[in-house]
Amino acid sequence: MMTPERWRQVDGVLQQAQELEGDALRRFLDAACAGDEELRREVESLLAAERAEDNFLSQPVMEVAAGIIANNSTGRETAQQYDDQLPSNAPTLIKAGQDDGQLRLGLMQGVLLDGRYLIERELGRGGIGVVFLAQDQRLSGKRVVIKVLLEHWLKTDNRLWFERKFREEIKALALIDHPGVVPALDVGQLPDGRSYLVMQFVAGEPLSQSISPSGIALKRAANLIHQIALALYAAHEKGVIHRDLKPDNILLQTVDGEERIKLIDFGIATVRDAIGTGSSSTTVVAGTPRYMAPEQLQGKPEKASDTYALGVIIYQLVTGQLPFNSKTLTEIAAEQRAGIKVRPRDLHPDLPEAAERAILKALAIDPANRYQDAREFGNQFRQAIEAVDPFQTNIGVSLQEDAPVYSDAPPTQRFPSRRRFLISAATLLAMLLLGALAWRGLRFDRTDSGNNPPVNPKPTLPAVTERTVSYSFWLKRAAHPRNVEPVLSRDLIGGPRDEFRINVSSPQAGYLYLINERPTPTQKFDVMFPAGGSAEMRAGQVLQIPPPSGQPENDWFGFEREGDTDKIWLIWSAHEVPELEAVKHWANAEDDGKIKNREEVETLRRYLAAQSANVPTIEADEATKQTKLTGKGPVLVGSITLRHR
Amino acid sequence: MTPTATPDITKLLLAWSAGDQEALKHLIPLVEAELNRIAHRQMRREDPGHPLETSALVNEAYFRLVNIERVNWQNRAHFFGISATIMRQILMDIGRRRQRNGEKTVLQQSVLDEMPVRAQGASPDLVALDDALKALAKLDELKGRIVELRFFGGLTIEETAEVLKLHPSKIKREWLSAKAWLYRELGN
Repeated sequence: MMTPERWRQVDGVLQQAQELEGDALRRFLDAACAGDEELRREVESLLAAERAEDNFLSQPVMEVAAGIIANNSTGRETAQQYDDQLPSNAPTLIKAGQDDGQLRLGLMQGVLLDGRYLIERELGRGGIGVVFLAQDQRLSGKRVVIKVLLEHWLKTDNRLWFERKFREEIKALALIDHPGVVPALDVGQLPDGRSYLVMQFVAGEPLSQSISPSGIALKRAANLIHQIALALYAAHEKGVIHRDLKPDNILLQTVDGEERIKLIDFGIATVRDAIGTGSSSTTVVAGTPRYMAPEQLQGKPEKASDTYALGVIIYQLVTGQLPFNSKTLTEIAAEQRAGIKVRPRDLHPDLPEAAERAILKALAIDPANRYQDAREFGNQFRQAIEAVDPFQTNIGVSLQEDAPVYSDAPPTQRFPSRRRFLISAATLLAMLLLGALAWRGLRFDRTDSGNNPPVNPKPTLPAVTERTVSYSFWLKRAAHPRNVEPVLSRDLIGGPRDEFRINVSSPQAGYLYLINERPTPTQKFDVMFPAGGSAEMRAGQVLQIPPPSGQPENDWFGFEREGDTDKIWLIWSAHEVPELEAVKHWANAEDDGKIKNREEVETLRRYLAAQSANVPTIEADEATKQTKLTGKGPVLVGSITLRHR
Repeated sequence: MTPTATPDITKLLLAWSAGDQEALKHLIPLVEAELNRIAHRQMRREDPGHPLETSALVNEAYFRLVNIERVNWQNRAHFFGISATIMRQILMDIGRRRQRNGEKTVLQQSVLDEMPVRAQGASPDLVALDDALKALAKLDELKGRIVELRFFGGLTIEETAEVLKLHPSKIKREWLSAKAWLYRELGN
């Protein structure tokens, strides 16, 4: 019996021997196995096995898998659905009395339900129900969608309750008669007692596929939101709350050349909520909480919760971003309480102010402060968009395009205006700055009883100066160390042995600081630049960070951990920054830039939070891979997300 | 809920990769059923003398099923890795079931017309391979994983390197070594 230690020894010799032949091999083995005849025998027998003719492993199992699977005559019942003897669409009848397991398998392709619905295939399976595509045999094979409660809920103690709840929802859905809601067509019962719901099949794309990182056109967004609001209103009138409104549950169709929405997945959400709150201590929230209203996260959904979800959706449609990005319920709830950090207009300056106000009102924390009903929200939003004189919108755009370009900038630093565009999702997300905590605190008290969610007002600084800074990243992949390429920061994703460096330049002179913020609470910040020296940067100078040390292989930063996200703070100031100068000295060379002291970390955190209230304009140039930040005031602060693979 | 390929498999994969072990239980029968259906359809229609075509189809169907295009590209390598494990699991289930019925599941070689006739007979039983692979993994975990990815997942050396975050040359040496060990083990 070989031990792992012995195997490592054998393997070491074997791997070197693999590349050798004839005399060279013999000489190598003589030397490597000197005095260990057993080692030599091991290696030689392994070499012989490797070089044998019958090396089946060299072909992936895919090459033979089909044969094995198809010939799996003694397989489970699953296989019988695909019996060779049956034509592919031959119906299999469900018989009463089959046990649950068989029934589950029975509800698959080729099954004829109640002599009418021929199951074509499964479309989707959520935490609660399964959805099938089927053909209505009575209506010459017209396609329908069939939804059934997942069978494992039947095994719980509350099965009757679930079943009743599901049926109530089916009934409610049947009451809604609105072109924006996928209609219920029929209801039936499976032999095991589960109800099933037959709905119209909508050949459409979910809205989620239309969302682009820079947002969709305002007119289109207004039209869609207006339609969704009307459909929701129709449901609310019948007492039905959707509870899981999100872009995946909104289908888009083109009817007579116009874009029409259809809401799907009514009902199931209620059952889901009940399971979450009723059965055990573990919260079952199968949907994404990012669209859920604060009261719904607490298990108390109401009509206004749907309006809130609609507010999140319009925020996303317009800006390409979600207002809150955490993954877990508790984190989302905390973000909601903290308020909207980035107003829609920060991301999309062309959005009329009235439209932003409408969005923020829909996102009010207290449901009582939202719109009376969804329809009112839809109307107001659409009016706000349509009220804007198109001429004015154009002025807004051209002002942006005419933003001052410094004539003393070196030509390579220029951004051809045609290629200018607002940067996409990832980087904007990176730019979600900490926000003026102090301001928010003040504001929060005031708005607690007010209408809107707390929002950070931008302090109105006098327009003293405008500062601008450009940066680009150079990425060196471990797999291709010679192929160093520039990338935009949103594409900056590195594995454990990949490396990067940064080039920074500005048409102005000033002081540059780069601070890395880590996701770990224990080691929060590192100073990336300056490393002990001066932070000064001349006008037009292109600064390489880390600065060239004479040993090119050392002039790189590494991606350390896997699957994490760091944030690089870039501070470009007209004067020396005392807080950062202090930190710079604290983070001396022996500490490798790490800021260890808790007090220092706090100082830095406070400084960044205070500065980042002043959000810079970001422009990314796809061609030169340069990102340019422009902002008012003497200090410009940006943050860049560094993603680890 | 678009009427495209079963999206829930992708979801389950995501759940599984996020650490939800339950997801695998739901995943296996879904993948198996789909594979089964396609393999059967193909076997019925086509000349069974063209195994390569069959497998190419299975391969394609499998990845369509997993909807790999909709998976974030950063995770792609990871998903290829997962699919190897699933494929192994499915085949082993079949192999062990047959073994209980006294049957063997031989890994037949796909003999292509243009290739010379190979040595016959020595193809090992699927279950024996699985046992050997488990023994290898105990001795040398990395090699066990490489074999799983290469053989059951159909990954190239470079893809395997990507999944394991190792250099391709390292993977290549380890793979040769692992094969040598397995051939010898199965030859006995």
